[in-house]
Amino acid sequence: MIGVRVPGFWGETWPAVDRRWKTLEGWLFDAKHVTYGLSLLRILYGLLIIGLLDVNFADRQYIWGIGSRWLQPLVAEEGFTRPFTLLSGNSPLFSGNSPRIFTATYLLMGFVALLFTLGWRTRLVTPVLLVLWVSLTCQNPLLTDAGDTVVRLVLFYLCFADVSAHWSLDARRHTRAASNPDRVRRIALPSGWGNWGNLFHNAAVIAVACQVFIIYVSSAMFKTQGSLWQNGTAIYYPMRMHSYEAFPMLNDVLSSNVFILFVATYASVFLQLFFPFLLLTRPTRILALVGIMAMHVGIAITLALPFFSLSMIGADVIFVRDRTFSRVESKIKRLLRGNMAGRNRDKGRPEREFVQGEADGPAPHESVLIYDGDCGFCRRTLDAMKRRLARWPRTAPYQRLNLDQHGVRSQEAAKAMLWVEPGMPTLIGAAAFARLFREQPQLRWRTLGRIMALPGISHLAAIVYRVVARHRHRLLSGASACQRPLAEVREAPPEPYFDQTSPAPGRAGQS
Amino acid sequence: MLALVLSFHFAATALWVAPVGPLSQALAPVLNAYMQPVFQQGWSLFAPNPVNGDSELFLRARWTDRSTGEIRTSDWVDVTRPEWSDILHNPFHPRSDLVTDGLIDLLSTDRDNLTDNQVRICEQDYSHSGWDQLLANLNAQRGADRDWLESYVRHERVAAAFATQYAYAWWGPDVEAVQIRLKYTPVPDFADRAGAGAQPESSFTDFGWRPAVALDGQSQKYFAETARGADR
Repeated sequence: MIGVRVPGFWGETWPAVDRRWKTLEGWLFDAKHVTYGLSLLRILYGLLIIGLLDVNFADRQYIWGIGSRWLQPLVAEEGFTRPFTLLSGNSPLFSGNSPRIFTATYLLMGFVALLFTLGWRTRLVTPVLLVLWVSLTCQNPLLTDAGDTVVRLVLFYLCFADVSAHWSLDARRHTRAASNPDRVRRIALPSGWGNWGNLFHNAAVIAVACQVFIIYVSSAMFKTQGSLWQNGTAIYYPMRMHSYEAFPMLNDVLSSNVFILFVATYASVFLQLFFPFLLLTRPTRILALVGIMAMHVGIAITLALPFFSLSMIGADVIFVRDRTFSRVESKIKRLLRGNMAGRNRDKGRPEREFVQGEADGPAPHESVLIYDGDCGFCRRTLDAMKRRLARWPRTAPYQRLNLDQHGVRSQEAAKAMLWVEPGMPTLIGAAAFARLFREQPQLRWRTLGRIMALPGISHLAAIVYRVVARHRHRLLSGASACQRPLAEVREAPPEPYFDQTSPAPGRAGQS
Repeated sequence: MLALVLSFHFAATALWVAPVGPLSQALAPVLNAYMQPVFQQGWSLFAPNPVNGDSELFLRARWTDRSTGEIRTSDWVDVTRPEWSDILHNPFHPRSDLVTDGLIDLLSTDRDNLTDNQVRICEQDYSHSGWDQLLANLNAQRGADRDWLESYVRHERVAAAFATQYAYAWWGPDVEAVQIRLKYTPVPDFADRAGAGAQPESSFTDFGWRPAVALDGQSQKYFAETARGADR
């Protein structure tokens, strides 16, 4: 039986495998991914390095310079060779034994980190920063913490990526060059070169992700072996140690509570162990990212390890999708603009257009939501909903539309709200609402929209809608306006307008 | 091609960070050559069990009084507490506040790998016979791992060079020998967290007298200016 089925299985499977392969190829070559995440990672790591150089500035000679030469045998054990020996005691080039040259290099590193944060020529600056970072930190193996290692590994992968696509001087330069073609002096790259750039960029993204997975999963596996992690008290001990304890009062309160301690201990193990798998679906991804970042904020405060925490948070932001970043960015921009425009922003604003939140250029949606403009109840209901729902398609009263253009008859439009989307069946009444809810960014509205579209429930919703629509003139004051179109409706032949699959006349078969 | 590079890199990384097993032992030469030093990493953070106590580093010094010709020995001085007081209320403390923390970690990990006989040797005075004699005596013990013992003595010498800098700052350039002691005080067990039970006992780890040593290029000035408590 199996022997007979196998060829058929392959015959059917191969095209699917081929398709998957093409998709993967497309993902790797067609565009750069996680550009927002890597840009934020760049900024966070730049700030981390600047901050670290800053808090250690007064002690620099003791930690890494000529006050630390008692450590040289350990430095030699680490085995870093050129180009990472810029600051070593026997570096002929930089003469690590001159405190002035050491200080100059230290300040240079701060400047390079600033350029990196601002995103200036990151293709060149990233490898330079990596070399300086390793050269400095490897001079004191006793004080190298896990955060230094994370920064070293991630900076290495970032050398192959475009980390300045957003919020950077590079991005500003590219935008200006694009808007001013005379000034473009770009050397024409052979076609296809950009694709290879994409490939390296995306491979670097994969590398950072894999590195983060290895860190979390392996550290969680080591923890699961420990009896203190198993009995849920492990984090009590470091929280009570002087070398980690910056705020003893806070740590005492937190670590004395059995419940907090148990939940925090187990959450930190499980979040790390299951991290890669939690990323696979959106709700669990939000849980994983919020949870793990909360964990790192906790580590920063209760164990006095802010730089280590920042190194992990910086790497974690690559798992936030570009779409989310661009949505937040446009929201902030809108907010800023709104504030500048003052409090008038809600008055006289044109109908909000439905915009799909894609990172690569929003495409205007052609859907139209049609309602009865003579009906006060309808208008007021929609106004109330507009305050709650963020996303709307073009919304217009049928009286002001050329209905033929949308393939809708006025009798239909007078009877119920319609959602008209080219190439799709017209959605009527409750189904139009369900569709509107499904377009919302918030999970609760989308869930409601999905539930309303379920078989059975959609029919029930349609009946409720029909009843409300029939009696809308009695529901609220100002109903008189609703009576006129209702009279028209009565003349029209009865139609099953709650049937959400009825095709839009004149549009059927076009798609 | 790139897929191969990435796969190799992360397979090697996974093997490197995992506990040693037959496969990683078989591939050790390749792994060592590839991972060190640039991709060197280890993620056993607070694991399997977190260290559950405070460690302090004490040191003292011995020198000959120039006027009397008498041999003088200083009291033990705690060099860790000044670092702790700097960490208090300051999560953004400079990393120089963890120098003894790192040094204690290095010394006690090493010490755990010594046999009982070797520990006894380490507790003896080598301030006159020196490092080579210490290494020779350790190597003479049964089951000695020569390469590892060499690195052990190297680490002890690093610790002595650190202690010497403090000793110079406190007791002057005549210091001839230094000695290190580690004190470990467990955090009260979680069940005793309120502190009602008996306070946990501290335990001590002593190293014998070692010759004062200053390594090439070491600046006494920058050490004494910055090291916590060196300016007392």
